[in-house]
Amino acid sequence: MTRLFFFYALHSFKNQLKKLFKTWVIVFILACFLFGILLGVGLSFLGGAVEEGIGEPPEEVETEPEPEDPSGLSREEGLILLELAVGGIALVVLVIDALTGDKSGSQIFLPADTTLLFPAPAKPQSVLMFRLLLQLGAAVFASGYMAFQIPNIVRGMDLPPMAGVALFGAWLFLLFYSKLLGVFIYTLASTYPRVKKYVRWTVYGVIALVLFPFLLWWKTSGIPFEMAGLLEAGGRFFCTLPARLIPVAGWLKGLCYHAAAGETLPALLFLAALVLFLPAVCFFIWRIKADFYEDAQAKSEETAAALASAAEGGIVKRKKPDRGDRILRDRLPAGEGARAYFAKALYNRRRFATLGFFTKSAITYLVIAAGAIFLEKTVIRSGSFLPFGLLVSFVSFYTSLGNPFAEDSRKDWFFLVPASPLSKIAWSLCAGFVKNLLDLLPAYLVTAAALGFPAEALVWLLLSLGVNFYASSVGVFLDFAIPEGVAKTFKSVVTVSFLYFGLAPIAIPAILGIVFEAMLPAALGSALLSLALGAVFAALSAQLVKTGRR
Amino acid sequence: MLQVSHITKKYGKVFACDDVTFSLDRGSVTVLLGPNGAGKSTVLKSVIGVLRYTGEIAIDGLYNKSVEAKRLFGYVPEIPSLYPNLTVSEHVEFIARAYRLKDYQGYADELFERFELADKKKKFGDELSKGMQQKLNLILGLVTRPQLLIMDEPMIGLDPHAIKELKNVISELRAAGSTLLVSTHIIDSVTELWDRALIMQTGRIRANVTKAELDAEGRTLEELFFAITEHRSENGEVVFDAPEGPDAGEGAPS
Repeated sequence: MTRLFFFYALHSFKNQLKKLFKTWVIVFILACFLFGILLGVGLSFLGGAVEEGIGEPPEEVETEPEPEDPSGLSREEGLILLELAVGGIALVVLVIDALTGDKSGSQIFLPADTTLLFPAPAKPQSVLMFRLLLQLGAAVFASGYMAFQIPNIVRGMDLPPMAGVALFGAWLFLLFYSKLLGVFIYTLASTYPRVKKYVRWTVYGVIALVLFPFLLWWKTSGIPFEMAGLLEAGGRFFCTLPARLIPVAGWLKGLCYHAAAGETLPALLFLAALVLFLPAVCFFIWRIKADFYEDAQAKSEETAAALASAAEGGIVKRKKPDRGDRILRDRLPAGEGARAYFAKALYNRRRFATLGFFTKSAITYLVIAAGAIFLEKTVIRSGSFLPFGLLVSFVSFYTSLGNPFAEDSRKDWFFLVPASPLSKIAWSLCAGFVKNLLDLLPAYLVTAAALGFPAEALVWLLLSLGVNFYASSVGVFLDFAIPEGVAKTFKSVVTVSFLYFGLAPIAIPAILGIVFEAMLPAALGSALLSLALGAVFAALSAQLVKTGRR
Repeated sequence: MLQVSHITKKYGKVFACDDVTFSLDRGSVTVLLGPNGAGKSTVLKSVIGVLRYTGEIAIDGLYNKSVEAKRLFGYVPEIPSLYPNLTVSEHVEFIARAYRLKDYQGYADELFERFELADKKKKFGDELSKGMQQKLNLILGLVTRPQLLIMDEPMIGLDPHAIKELKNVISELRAAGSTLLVSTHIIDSVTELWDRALIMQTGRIRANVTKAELDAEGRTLEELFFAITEHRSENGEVVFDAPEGPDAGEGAPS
């Protein structure tokens, strides 16, 4: 398997580069690099010129043991904040991978694996490790560009160089462990289907085990139970030696904290723990008696064949009506030409939503609203709509990455429908916009009713919709622009580059808003810019539809 | 060579195959026939060990999911599936490495020539037409020189030349002592190839008959197939002259 792994990894990587070099994407990547170099050189030049103008700083300044931090935090507070951030991010990533492990695990395999690799003379565990290692390699590759940020992190956060490397290393380890956790849960759940239903509640239990003792302790500790006391409470509860000894999440915290504090030996100890635990986890997964081939197969196809068999032969008749019987199956209510896509999307939303309205996204936003209302009233007390608006916009942006109407646009008849390409793209994106509006509306209404600020709510709603529209448009554009054979990792790198380069102009009003303490006009500006940029990408996508599939 | 004993596979409450039993002799060609959704692919996927089922399957006496058993068989899927980022020749090399083959290149080149893929070796998996993908899947199944070759609807998507070559290959493999299990719902495509036929419907084997037995009765495979699959009562129930269940085919159906 090792030789097979290196053969496959080398050839597929080389071939994907070849494919990319045949497309315009490489031009974009080179342009990004060039832009980055020019920006870096330009900034260095400007920085040098400014320093020359100011003159050499006096030597005493350099020897000061505790330089004043521009953020107003002491060094120790900065370290605590860093450790809390690392712990928080680790927890979020690990929880997401644990919750989605069952689903994402089955996506680890390519369709060709099921026909070429599964029947091959190898243990299922070896096949799993083959794919897992390839995915980890891809994750490292995709994170490679972050290494260039190490000098920025070191300089910007005033950290020793070791801390920059440690932060990058911690990110890689987090990727590894989250992937392993997902695969572990998948292996377990596919081999022992009964485990499946306990996974979600176990994860919720772990979250509760972390949060509730903390909140209880905070309430009784005498530290003010509000935003101002959060850092102190978090630091005293989570930034302790026992908390750093918790496997993986604690070790990541410990590594970053000690590296940032310039304490080499303890940082190395936590690094050693992370390194040594990695093969141990791999070995543990490898030892599980795995039987996941069936789950990895195209389940829907299998089930459809079985159901077709039953329908034709009538071997088994379903006794109980399932949910399928309650789904609307009457004809599409409206829409002709390109508008048919709009009508279909909204009809399907109604068809599959709870009570004909509450989709999973709408419910998620409502849960976020409930959490935001609770935190605003008890801890944050910001007296504004900003925390909720920002959080929901953030979620709305990340949940809309990708092409929202891929199931339509990847079919040839999307090109054949006799309507202008722009109208097809526009109506499809418009459907996404309206669906998102319907998802967001209950959460915004509830939050506005509980907290007030209706005008602010309207602006933030527009921002949430705007960033969602922008992310969707970019997703559509890339779906049409990037060749289908290009692997997900490459697509992700290009997508991320596009999204974040596009976010730069959208962020300008937000930065101005922070500087001039006028967040509301800033949010409005960002919303309008997102919508405008989204429209540009939609128009570009229409051009790609006009020229035909690659 | 292959013993399948009482295998049952359910999806929820639906039986995709129900108490299926049969065995294949070494050096024979067995065709697995049945209408769409009869359970043919389920049986084949159970044999190659990618499904969970109840019952027992042994390949040359070995548990079918063991690494040792997997060395003995090759598989050609119904729907061709290739790695988009490996070329045609790299696919063959990949399989050769997975099966730890040593001297495969000569045979691979011969297969490339026979299936007219010799000039497509540098093409990527996703650059091939569906027919070419099917040809490559055939080559990948054949290049391991398996003792048992399992093919799921192998003729679909092939051009007439490739179908002719495939039939030749099947005859050569049989002559060389390999065992073949070929599923299809196109009876014409296997008329001159088969030694034993298994006819499936609604997840069960309704007939298990050798060519000699059928010839002795003066019936064709097509007649038997339609007698089984079209012989229904007014309420849709299948009516058989032959006894139902796994023992149905140990002799010829009447």
